[in-house]
Amino acid sequence: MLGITKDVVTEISKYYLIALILLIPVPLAGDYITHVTILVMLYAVTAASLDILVGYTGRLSLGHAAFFAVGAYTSTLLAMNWGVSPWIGIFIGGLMASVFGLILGVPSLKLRGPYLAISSLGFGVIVWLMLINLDWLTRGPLGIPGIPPLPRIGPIDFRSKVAFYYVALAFTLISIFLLHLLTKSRIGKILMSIREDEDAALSVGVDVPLFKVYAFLIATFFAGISGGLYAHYLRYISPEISTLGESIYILSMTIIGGFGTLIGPVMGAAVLSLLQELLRSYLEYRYLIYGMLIILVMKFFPSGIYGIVQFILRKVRE
Amino acid sequence: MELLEQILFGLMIGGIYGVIGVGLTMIFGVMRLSNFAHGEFYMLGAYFTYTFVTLIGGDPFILAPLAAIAVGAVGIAINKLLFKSLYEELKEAKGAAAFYFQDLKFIMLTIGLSILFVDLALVLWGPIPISIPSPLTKHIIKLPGGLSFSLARLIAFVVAIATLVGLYAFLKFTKTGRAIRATAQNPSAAMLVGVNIYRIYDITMFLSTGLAALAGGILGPIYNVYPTMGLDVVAKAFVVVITGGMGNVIGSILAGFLIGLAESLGGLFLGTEYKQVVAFVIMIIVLWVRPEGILGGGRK
Amino acid sequence: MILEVEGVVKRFGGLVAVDDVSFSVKEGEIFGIIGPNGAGKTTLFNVITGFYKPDSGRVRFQGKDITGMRPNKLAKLGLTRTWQIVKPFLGMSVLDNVLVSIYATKGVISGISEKAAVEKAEEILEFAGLLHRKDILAEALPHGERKRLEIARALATEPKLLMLDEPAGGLTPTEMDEVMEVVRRVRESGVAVVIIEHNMRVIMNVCERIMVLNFGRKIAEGSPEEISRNEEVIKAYLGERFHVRS
Repeated sequence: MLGITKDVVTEISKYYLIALILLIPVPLAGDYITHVTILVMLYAVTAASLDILVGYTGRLSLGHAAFFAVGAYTSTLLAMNWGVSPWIGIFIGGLMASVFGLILGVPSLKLRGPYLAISSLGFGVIVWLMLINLDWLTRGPLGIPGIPPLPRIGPIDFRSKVAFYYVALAFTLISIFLLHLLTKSRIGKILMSIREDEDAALSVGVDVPLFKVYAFLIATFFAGISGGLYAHYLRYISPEISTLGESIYILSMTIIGGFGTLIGPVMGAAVLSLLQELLRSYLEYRYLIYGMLIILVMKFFPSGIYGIVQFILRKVRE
Repeated sequence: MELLEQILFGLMIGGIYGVIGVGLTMIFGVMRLSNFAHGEFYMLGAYFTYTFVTLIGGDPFILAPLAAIAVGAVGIAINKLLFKSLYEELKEAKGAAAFYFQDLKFIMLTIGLSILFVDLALVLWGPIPISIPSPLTKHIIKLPGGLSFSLARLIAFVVAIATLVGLYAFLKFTKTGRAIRATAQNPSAAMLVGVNIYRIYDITMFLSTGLAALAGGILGPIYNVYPTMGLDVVAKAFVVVITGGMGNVIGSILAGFLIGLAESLGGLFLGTEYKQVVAFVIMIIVLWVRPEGILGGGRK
Repeated sequence: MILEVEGVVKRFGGLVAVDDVSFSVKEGEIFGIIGPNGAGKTTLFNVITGFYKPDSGRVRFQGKDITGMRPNKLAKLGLTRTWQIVKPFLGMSVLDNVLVSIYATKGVISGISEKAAVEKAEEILEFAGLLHRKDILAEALPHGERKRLEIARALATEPKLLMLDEPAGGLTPTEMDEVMEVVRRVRESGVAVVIIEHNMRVIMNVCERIMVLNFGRKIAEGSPEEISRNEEVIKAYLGERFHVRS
């Protein structure tokens, strides 16, 4: 179905199994490392979801953080105002993010050129402004503290970092696995054809606008869910998570990691988060480095970190 | 009275939006490049002006054009050093098609430049907002009926209008201006009639970045100068450009005034918190209803 | 009649690119469109295939009015075009290039099994002489092979009418013969073909009927012999050499 054969599934599963095995013992390294890894994983899914849009369909979105925020706020408000279980709320958050994606996406995607980039920029700003100004709903710039954690399952209390870690791990591996399958499927190939040449895709029967919307819905859904999980983990959110700066941070992960490769953005998330930690004392130079990395990647290594790793692996094999 | 004041302010700021928007629309019209770093040139214009004022002394309104030229030179350097090789590379890969600048890679490059510049400004000038001193801000002009505004605002407006008129005349009547318009229409055809499109690209970068810088320089004394001021402006700049029609110079000028006015009035009727949203809502509406921009002829 | 074009007009600002052009194409025939540069041939193509909306006029495909219908819909109905400047999906393999057409027209979720799709794609690649290159990225192909890939990809949509925009452009004589061989085989399988070409040798040898455009207007229509002897046509091409079929 969808052009995904059993062979493809078994082939990819190998990598995820390995990743699972490698990541299971992480909590042994202590609370701090666990915390950082959780955040890396949530960012990784968000960056990978952005890659579906940017790398595979070739459409630039500069407001992805806004969808992350929509997911976070939706789940939070549902839990705190209407007692909706976060297990369900997070999923609804993802759907809500997709709805927002549809609202923004439909007029912008029918157009060519950088219209999506520009309108996503504007959309992100509008979402941010709404979060700040609709303070009767969102508590404005103060943010919302005291967000309920994921409800316990039996004896497992998800307020503990370790317990949450495994939820995040499962979520991350499953999400990226699904996205990976998508890129190998027929839909993936059609999206790539749109990236390569829209007119040519149209001329061979591809309903380009429709598939762009699909890509958008998928990308925003996963961003929304990541946001929901984030909210119930940190248990505090503020409009800060929806700013242009955040969107660019996520985009940087996708680009520097290597867009169009899905795994690249995951690597990008890990590397940039690592840099963030290492540069704690030099926080002001962060964006200088990100900016330079983006420029370097664009000019010399379009496949980003993923490409570099592949290159090294190939040399090692020889 | 408040209404009249807001209308006046709106038009005044609209003139500046026009200057910023025009640069962006030109670079899109001629090079098909969506320059997401455009706001940073605006920011650099403000900081360069500040630096010149502190080093040389003098009025920022006199030094702003100087800063604009300096930033324009930076723009040309970026074109030559960063863009040209990527352009050639894409030309090789894609064959004889035109307009390589609209490739995703270029847009990402400008995003990289943008965050680089923001951080550079942070490092060089610090995060604390600066105000550029100018005696003109103290001079208040009082009109009959109670309207008042600083001389600085008036001068800024006048400079903006003069620049726009000058630019229009340049594009319409000079040989280079015609060459620019020809390149915007069809670069291959322009090449055939002897236009050196690389030179045109350099000139366009110079004008585009210079205009943004000029706007930054003359607004410096009125508003504060801080490293992320470009980010705040770039979204607005794109709103102006889309509303006016991407690549449409007159459209951007008109849209600039429109947005400035709409913002001021919006702020008056909806409250200042919603002032910012007005511009973006207009953009979304334009995208839904008339994506070519209000004057049409914007490239889709 | 598989294609009927009636009174199509297309303007760009003050310029009339296509000025009241009408013609029809019979099932299974090879129809050529020629004319000096800028005569409006590609614009006409773009109107017929849904990339431009005409200012007036109608286009009928198999009797059905398709004026202004979107290109992807037309491809599904059986009307597919290729591009003058080839547009391969550069970052994808040759096989994937063709597969995309099959997925787009047959169905993304189901409609055709993966095995059948790959088989069909390989069949088409063989037909176009590209099977041995199926796993190579399209961007690695030389110009001649890209031209054939362009046709292969269009064929994968199972067209009843194939519209080729300068399929021989930039090719060496040998490559040209290879492409024309593919075109003939296409016609033999019952598909009607409309070709825009500059190369007279190609047009005269392959087409059954030819229409000549100049300044957006039709100035002649007929068999290759008739066209080569037509005063208007000769005047339009004054200064250009062309080979006449003797």
